[in-house]
Amino acid sequence: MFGFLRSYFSNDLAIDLGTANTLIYVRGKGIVLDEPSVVAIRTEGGPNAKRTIQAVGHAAKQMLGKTPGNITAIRPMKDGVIADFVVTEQMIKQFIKKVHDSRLLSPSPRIIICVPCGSTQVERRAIRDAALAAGASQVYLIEEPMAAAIGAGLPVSDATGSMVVDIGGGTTEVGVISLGGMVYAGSVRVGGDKFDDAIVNYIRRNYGMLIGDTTAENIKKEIGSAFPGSEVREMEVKGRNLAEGIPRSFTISSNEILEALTEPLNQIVSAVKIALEQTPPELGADIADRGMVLTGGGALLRDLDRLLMEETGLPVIVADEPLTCVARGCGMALEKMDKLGSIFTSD
Amino acid sequence: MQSPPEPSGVTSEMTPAEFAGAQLRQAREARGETLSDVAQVLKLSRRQVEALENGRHDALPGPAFARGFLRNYARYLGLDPAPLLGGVEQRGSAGTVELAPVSNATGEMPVGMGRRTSSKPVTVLFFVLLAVVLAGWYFDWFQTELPEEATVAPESAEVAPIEGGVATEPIEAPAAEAQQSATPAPLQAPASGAPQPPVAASPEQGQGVVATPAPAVPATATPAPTASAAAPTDAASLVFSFSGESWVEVRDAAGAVVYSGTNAAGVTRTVQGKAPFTLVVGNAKDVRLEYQGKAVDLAPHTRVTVARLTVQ
Repeated sequence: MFGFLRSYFSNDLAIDLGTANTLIYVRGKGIVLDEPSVVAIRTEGGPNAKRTIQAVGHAAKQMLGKTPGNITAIRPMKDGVIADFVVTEQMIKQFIKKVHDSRLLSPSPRIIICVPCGSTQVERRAIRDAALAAGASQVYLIEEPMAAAIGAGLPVSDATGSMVVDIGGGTTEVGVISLGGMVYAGSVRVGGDKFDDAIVNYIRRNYGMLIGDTTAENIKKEIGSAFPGSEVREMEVKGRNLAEGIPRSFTISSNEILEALTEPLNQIVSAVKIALEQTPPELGADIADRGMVLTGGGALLRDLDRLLMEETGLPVIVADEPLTCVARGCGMALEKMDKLGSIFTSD
Repeated sequence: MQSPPEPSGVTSEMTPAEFAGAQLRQAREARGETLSDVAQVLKLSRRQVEALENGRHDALPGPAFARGFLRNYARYLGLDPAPLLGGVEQRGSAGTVELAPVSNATGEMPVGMGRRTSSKPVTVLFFVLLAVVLAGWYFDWFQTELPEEATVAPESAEVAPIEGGVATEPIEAPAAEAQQSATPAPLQAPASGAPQPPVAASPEQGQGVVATPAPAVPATATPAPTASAAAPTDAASLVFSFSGESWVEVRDAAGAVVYSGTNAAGVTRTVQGKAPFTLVVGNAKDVRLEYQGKAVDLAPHTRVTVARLTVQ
């Protein structure tokens, strides 16, 4: 009723609450925050014993795996959904505080949050409640493939099939979209984190060395690839030798990483193939003509598009700025949220 | 700029898309590959690769795909895609992207088929009934007599035909008297009495007021010819003088309607019958009543405009 007044007090926000990164889009301003979804919590002893938030975002990510006993660095999101409700709520609150101008009244924005299409009702409810607890006045949910497709600039409202594969930190979402709605939505809980795990396991198995998640992520970004290329790149890695218990350095090649990533990559390929199988033939014809679009951080894995191209025989393109696609898509939905209801998902 | 050397045939009028396409073609030809080779690797159709090289991006599925295909092609050829993509239009910003499918109709589908459609007439019916009840209560409460008059009038009209069977006898009796034949009258009466329309009966009744006192009792009791002569002897008479239009109904001792009708201003009407009379006089202030030669004041019996009284 007083919707026109609300805009004077609070800006509407769109949040891509991802497993790896959280991005916030503010209406009329664009993406204003892009930080890792990490919270560092300090436990204080003594007479004023309490738990305080030490850091969030980039600063907290620096602490991952390097914390002393009284600080815990937590990634509260796992597999695209909330693993730690209270910490997630605090993280959203901190991020909103960062992007929202401080005013007399505490901000109570309307928030659009994207959720994995494979998430359960309970998981969606948790995300909704976390945002409400963080100060949102209203929360709308949008499914990630939809947001990714909008952000990638696909013609989602046309009567043509658009296929989008969003490879995030925790999940890979495959969506076929036509006429502003999802025709097919599939989700596998494989993403950047699983790649990292696969690299850690591979190195432990083959080299007898233990490396941390952050190191594994760096290896993936540096020399990771999804398709055997002509040039083989190498990287020097330091880790703890399991047999000796002493830190050692060793060299690993891109072909080895490709081998390490085979299993999670196969899961993504099979998810895409299942989606193509399930797509109605008319839309399948459209997709065969224009191909599928990769978004999300996983799309930055070298030659992942080549892998999918060879496996499916369809053209595969990587969207512009794949990391921010979902957030931009949420933002575009935010700009038009008062006019359209079909792209939002009910619980 | 790290872009490859200017391709042959580059002119200043080229659009960025055409320029990029020309560079791609030159790089491809330098590698000695055909369009089909490239199409095979990029999983595109030959037509799409041609469109890319000719800079005809309208032949491709859309800006997002055009950029993606261009990037893939450039990467395959070992070119840096960034400068080639620079001039190619990007799908618009938040304001210009259409998110809702095409719509050329409005309207909402009914929710819960049947329930809504049936509830509407029920509601209407309820309000109609409520209005009727309220109207009835209103008229009853204020004793507005006009509608009552209207309800009485048909009653008298209804009475008329029944009475007609009997009353026609004395009404026709004068005619019979004039002809000096008593026998045809009773015969004619049953024959003509029943079908005689009430419309005809009422005015006759009004006209032949003098004769009406005869009805019922005397007419049936005695043969027609003598009835009209005998009737006036034991009958009381009412004289109405009208100074305004008024409706009057007179019932005699037996409760039969002796006279019922509307009278114009200036009319004087005499009604005879067996006392006591029950009178209903509309517009009583314009009516002067004499009973047996004595004036009767209607005012004490008048409510609103109608007087109800019994005289004897």
